[in-house]
Amino acid sequence: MWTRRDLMKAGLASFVAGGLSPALAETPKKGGPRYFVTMFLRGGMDAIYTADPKTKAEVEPRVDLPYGANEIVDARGLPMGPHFKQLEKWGDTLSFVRGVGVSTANHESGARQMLRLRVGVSRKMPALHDIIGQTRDTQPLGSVTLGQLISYEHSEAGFAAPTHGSKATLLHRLDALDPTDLGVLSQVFKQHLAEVERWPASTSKAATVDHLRQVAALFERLPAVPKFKPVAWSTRGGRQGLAVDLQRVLWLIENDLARGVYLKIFLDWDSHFRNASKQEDATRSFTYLFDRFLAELKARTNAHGSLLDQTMVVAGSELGRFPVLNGNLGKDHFPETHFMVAGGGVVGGQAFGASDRMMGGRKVSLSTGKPDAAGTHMMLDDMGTTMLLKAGVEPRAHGYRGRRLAFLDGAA
Amino acid sequence: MGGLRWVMVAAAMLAVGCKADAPEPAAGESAGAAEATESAAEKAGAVSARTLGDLAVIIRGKPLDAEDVEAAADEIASGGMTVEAFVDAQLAEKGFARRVASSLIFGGPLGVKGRHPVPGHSVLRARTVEGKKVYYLRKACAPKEAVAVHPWWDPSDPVRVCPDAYRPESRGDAEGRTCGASMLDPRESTVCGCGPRLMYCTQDYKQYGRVKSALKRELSDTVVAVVDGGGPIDRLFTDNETVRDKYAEFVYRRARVAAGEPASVLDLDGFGEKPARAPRHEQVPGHHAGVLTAPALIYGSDALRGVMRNYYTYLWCAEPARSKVSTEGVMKLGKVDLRVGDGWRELAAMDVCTDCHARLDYGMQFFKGFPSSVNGVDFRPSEALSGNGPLYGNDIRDERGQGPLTPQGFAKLVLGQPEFGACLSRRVVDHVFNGMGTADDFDAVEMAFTRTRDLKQMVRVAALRFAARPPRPGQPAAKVVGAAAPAGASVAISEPVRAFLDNHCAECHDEGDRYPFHEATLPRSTVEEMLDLVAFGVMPATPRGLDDAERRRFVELMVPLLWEDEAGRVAARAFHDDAYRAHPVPRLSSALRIVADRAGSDKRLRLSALEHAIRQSEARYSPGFAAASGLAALAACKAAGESGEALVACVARASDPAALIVGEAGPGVR
Repeated sequence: MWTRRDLMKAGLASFVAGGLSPALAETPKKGGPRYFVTMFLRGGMDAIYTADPKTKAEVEPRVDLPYGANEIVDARGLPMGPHFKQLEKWGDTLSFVRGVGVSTANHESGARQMLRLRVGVSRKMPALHDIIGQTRDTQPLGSVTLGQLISYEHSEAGFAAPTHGSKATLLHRLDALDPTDLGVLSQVFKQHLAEVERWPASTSKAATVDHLRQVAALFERLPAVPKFKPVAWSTRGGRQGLAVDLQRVLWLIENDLARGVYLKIFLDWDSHFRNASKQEDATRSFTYLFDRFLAELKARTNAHGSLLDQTMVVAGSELGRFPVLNGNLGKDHFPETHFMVAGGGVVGGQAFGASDRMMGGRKVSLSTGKPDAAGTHMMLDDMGTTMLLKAGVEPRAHGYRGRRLAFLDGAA
Repeated sequence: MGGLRWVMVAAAMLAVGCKADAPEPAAGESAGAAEATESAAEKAGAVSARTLGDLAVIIRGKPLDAEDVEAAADEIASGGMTVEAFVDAQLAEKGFARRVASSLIFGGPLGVKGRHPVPGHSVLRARTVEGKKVYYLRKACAPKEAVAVHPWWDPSDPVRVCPDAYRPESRGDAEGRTCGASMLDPRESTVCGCGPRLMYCTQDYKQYGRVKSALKRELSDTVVAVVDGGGPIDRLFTDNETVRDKYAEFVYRRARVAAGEPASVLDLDGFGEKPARAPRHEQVPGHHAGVLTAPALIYGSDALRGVMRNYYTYLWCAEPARSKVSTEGVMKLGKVDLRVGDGWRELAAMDVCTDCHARLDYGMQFFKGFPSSVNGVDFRPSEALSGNGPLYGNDIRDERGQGPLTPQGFAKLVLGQPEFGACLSRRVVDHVFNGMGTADDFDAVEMAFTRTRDLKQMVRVAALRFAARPPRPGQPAAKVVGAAAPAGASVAISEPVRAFLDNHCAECHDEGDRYPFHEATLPRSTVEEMLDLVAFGVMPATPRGLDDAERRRFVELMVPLLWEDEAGRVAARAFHDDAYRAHPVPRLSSALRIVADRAGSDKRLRLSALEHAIRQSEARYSPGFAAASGLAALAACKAAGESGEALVACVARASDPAALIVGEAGPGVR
């Protein structure tokens, strides 16, 4: 009986062997990042304040632009909007991908798409991290989902661990176990695994076996892993909750416990009224902690090297903000978003993609990421496809028909 | 009550003729549906304890004691009880209406927070100076400056409030926003205080939480009353009465005062701490439509369009579409107030947008008196529309009828459409069969809806079919058949695929459609999209859907058209054939009870988990579920006093995957 991971490897092998014509596909990258972290900034971060700063001369007069050119941050050559001031020191580590189409102006479908980094999704489709999780190495878990999750962010093959508002989550319960308890669970789940492996072959069985294998390996590994002990990164309650989530991400990858982590961050970027103050509050809370997260990622190492070098970090919202203010000083939805990328497998210090005078994404070259009239508009699927390729997964067999964002490699 | 309590109940029901009271199949009911129900009765003796145990969990959201299940199986085998009586007994348990019905009616656990109708920005703060407690919103004042106010929560006991926190004369701003609105948050605006009787404020965070809970409970208690009351489920969305306590009633009364009635309306005579069924005052004719005008739902989003999106999801299963919104399209509208402004008519008629916005935005007109919580939190009779208006289905070309522009008018129109029964039937089938029901199951349940419009009767039909044919989730992996396909930009459609398209797709996708299925070859990207959409249940986009076997057959047929080599095919087939879906399991809350029962303990692990919030049909043996079952087993076995090797044996027994999987999947027996 082939396991899902065997199938994944077979698919990759066939792919490398030329199963598809070169025109239709890209080659998965061998030796890509060991870890993948996606941060979903729920609500819609405003690009003009952050990754896509503008001057008055660059936009139409009706575009809301309430800051002067002198407030644009020169982050070691990477231009950042005033709300990204805190990230100035990461100008050579971060890159921005701007003007990415999401084909939706709705949070719910946008959230479902973020979980999969592609458009046109259904609740039954596996999450991107579940697919990437099949290429795990020695990590016990394929993918972990953290944050203020809601029902349609559930994935059937993931280790969902919503982390806000309760001290009784799965991870809290695991934290509380002593090595003896974990030994009992490890022993029991190895028995379960052996038992279920004897069941008749079926697709359901293959997945059940894989999930049992993950959990049995987790119980076996945890006694050797330092206990998760969050420290104060902020004295503000709301921020500290997110700080704990970010530290949990670090703990998971530093201890080689998961191949991928999906973190949903809920900081009220949905600024239909009072856009300026709501965006500022949300983005400054995020950047204050993201700055610390990047510093920790850079400082920490594990047996495989520096965490920053090994981890591909992608952060973005499910949709963007309409460029013109509404009657409540707010901004409604816009079907484009932007991403921050950093770490393993991606070049830093670059602003890819560009917007026009109404903040709409322009056509770009997928080789350079720079505006190109003969180029193409970027789509969310391109981001998902690129991550799969970096994880060594053949995208088309997994429903991804986007293009590889070659510019992220930095070769150009 | 333990032991054989419910077996006796079921046997008693049989004795008094419950079976005879069960609805007869209607004339015209499909042979398949009727046969399955009959066979359930005929084969009563063949129903296993495992199947009965599964049914109990499915129907009442809670397992029966193992000894009760065994006793029931014995009773049925010996002819002392029928499966029908067993199912009826489960449906009569309060657990069905309390734990399961909401999920069927609304498509999942109701996640309403109740925060919009109760302004969280207006929780009073208090300071005690010289022994006198003074309430304030923005800044404390000296006791001598404070004024005495009879608050809504206890008019007989006046409190002292700083003048700027009271301001009964201010009802809103010059732009039409009214107090309580997010835009008039007292931390950012000086326009409002707490108003007459402090009705826009709560005394403290405890009371704030109390009001929010009361609004949520109004929904769940009203569901229980309607479902257990029997009869058409429509009443949940059309009745004037709801079940509520004084805190929920306060929110309705506040709207009346905001509309100009005297503050004495806020005297909550007749309402206490205990919820009771009571009529609601109508500020305009047709103002109320069951729970659709309950504050927790009608302010369930901060804009009316979001509320309508929720309503169509609840009532028609119309979830947010696979969106095709483009930047160019949004810009072409030339409007900046698409959310609460005047751009709705254009949006509702615009290409692509019309697929959702004709339904949503014309639907909004029936609820026009309810403002966006950004601008107000009370019903405005003066803004409610009069006359009749249209209701649309799929798009602007699909008008379904006209009705009075009131919530009541909306409810009657929307419940009269075929989508309502189809949606409810789909949910019942998905719930009972864990997503593995057939098109025949759907037909039988939809017939029960047509006949009775009674949720319990629909579940009854599905449950009896389940008893006759328990699902077997462990299907062999799909095969890959057909000749090798050449790589290229277009794909030749094989004969078997052509036949499938003719049978399942051509009715909607005819000539002129963007999917030209009549062509001999199709673009590769189109064929890939077709595989994706069918494999993951998006298409066919009908409530009846596609039988699992047919869906898997389609995957078998399509993969060879797209992948040239064996290994590539195997990978693509695996992905599109549920390779990530483990065995089905009960919802986590039920599973945790099963684990505790098997450990011989009353200790059920308290666990905050996403799996509590998902639909039954999505509940799978995921890594998270597996870990939760282990943790729950460990806690329960320790609570039962086990240690050492006995603890290991207990944890193994309690968390046994075979016992946690629904259907005849594994060799174990619960």
